[in-house]
Amino acid sequence: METRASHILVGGFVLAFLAGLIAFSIWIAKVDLDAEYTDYDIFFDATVSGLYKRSVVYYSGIPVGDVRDITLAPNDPQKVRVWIRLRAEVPVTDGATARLEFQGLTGVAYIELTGGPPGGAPLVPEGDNERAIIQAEASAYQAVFAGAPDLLNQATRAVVQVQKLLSDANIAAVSGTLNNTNRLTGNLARGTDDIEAIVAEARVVLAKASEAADNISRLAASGNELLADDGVELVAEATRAMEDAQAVLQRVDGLVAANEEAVTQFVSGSLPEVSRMIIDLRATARSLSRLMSRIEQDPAEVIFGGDEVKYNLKTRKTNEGEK
Amino acid sequence: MSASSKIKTLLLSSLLMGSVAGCGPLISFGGDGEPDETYGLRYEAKQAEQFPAGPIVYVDSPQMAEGLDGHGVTVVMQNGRRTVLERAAWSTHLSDLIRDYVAQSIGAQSGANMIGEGGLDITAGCRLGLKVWSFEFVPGEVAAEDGVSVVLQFSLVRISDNQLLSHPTFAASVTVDSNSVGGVMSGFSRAMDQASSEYGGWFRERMGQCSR
Repeated sequence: METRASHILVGGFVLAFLAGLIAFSIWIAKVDLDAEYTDYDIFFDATVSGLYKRSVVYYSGIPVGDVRDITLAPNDPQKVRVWIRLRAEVPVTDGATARLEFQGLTGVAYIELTGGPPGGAPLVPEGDNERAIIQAEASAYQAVFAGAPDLLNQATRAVVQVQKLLSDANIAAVSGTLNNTNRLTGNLARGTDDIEAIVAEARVVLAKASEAADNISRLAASGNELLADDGVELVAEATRAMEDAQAVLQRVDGLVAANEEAVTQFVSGSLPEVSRMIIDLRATARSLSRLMSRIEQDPAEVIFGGDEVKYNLKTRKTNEGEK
Repeated sequence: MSASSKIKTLLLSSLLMGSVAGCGPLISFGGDGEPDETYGLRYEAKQAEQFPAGPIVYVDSPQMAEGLDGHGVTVVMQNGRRTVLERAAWSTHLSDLIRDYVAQSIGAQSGANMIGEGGLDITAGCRLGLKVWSFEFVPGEVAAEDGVSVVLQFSLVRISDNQLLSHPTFAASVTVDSNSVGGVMSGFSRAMDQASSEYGGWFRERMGQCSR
């Protein structure tokens, strides 16, 4: 018997399964079918490096849309047109601005929107434009990047100036100046001490000078007395002494003249003999010194010969048996 | 005979006895052992120049530490007692041997005119004094440890101003073959040779100051 299939039942079941599958997919994908969007254009004057399609657009820090496309402006290739799509309920009114920002140090860019004043008119496309235009403003990063070349140039010039300022010649000059200053202050400090010492010494010298002046005065007075009283006698005695000395010298001279040969013989012959005698005496004295040392140590040994202890190399002992 | 004559006779007799005694024992009964072998010291490492052009230096007679001067070869036992080596003697007083050795070795190494005994009447630039602190044979516990020790202290004085130029000490110790007296005496020669190379260099560096 042939089984009869219920085609209607099978078809209904398949359709219901497909509908459930679609509903489940929509639920899983969170597709917001009811959502409405509004598109805008933003014209940036500088680079939008780091910004890509699907980059997030924030409004006061809230993600409200994404970037749909990035192209050059049709009429001005120096500008960049960014097409963004925002949720329709985002209040983009007249006076709203867009700014390019970066997330941390990763270089990922996003667009930050700032709303216009409350109660403002919503932005609408003007003229032939397809979308309303949000005014762009330069972000802090763009300002830094824009000013970086000038800043670097200025920094470079500053470094060059600093290098010139810190040249070896200038450093040497400054070092010399510091040394001079140090020396000057040192001299001043020492000079202070020296001045004090000089003043003290000057006082002592003045006192001594005063005392010396008094002594000189007294000496002059006594000198006058000496010259007047004893000077004459002193000069007379000195004269007599000189005359006696002259007479003695004359006698010595005569004596030497009379015995010139003997004196010459003494100087040329006897004096070297004296030198040699001294040498012999020195040697004799050394021998006597040695003898006296021996006598002091052992008088009997000097006279009768020694019976001293001796070390034998073969037995490695002394003759007294000591090792 | 007067009293002064007696004193003179007594002094003269004492002087004569002392002079004779200096040459050796007055009365020697001799020994029953073998006669001593006598040794000298001679610097043989280098010959002195025929006409040395260096400064004139007077080498003074060495001052010997106690017990070192004489003919005996000093032995210092391990307990510190000093004696002399049996059947060995220096050929003359050790101080004279050392003086000649020092004069010869320094003259050969430096080119200076080293004047020793008999040079008192020569005008010299420097005087070289010498103190011998040690010149002795030192037996060890065993024969292999036997050695000789030499310690010399110099004083170089510029005569013109009595300036002490240098006052160093040099020491040398060598082990010796103590199986024979000759081995020990050879050790003294080697020790002096070792020391002479050191004090020769020291003197060369300073002899220029003697001619100022």
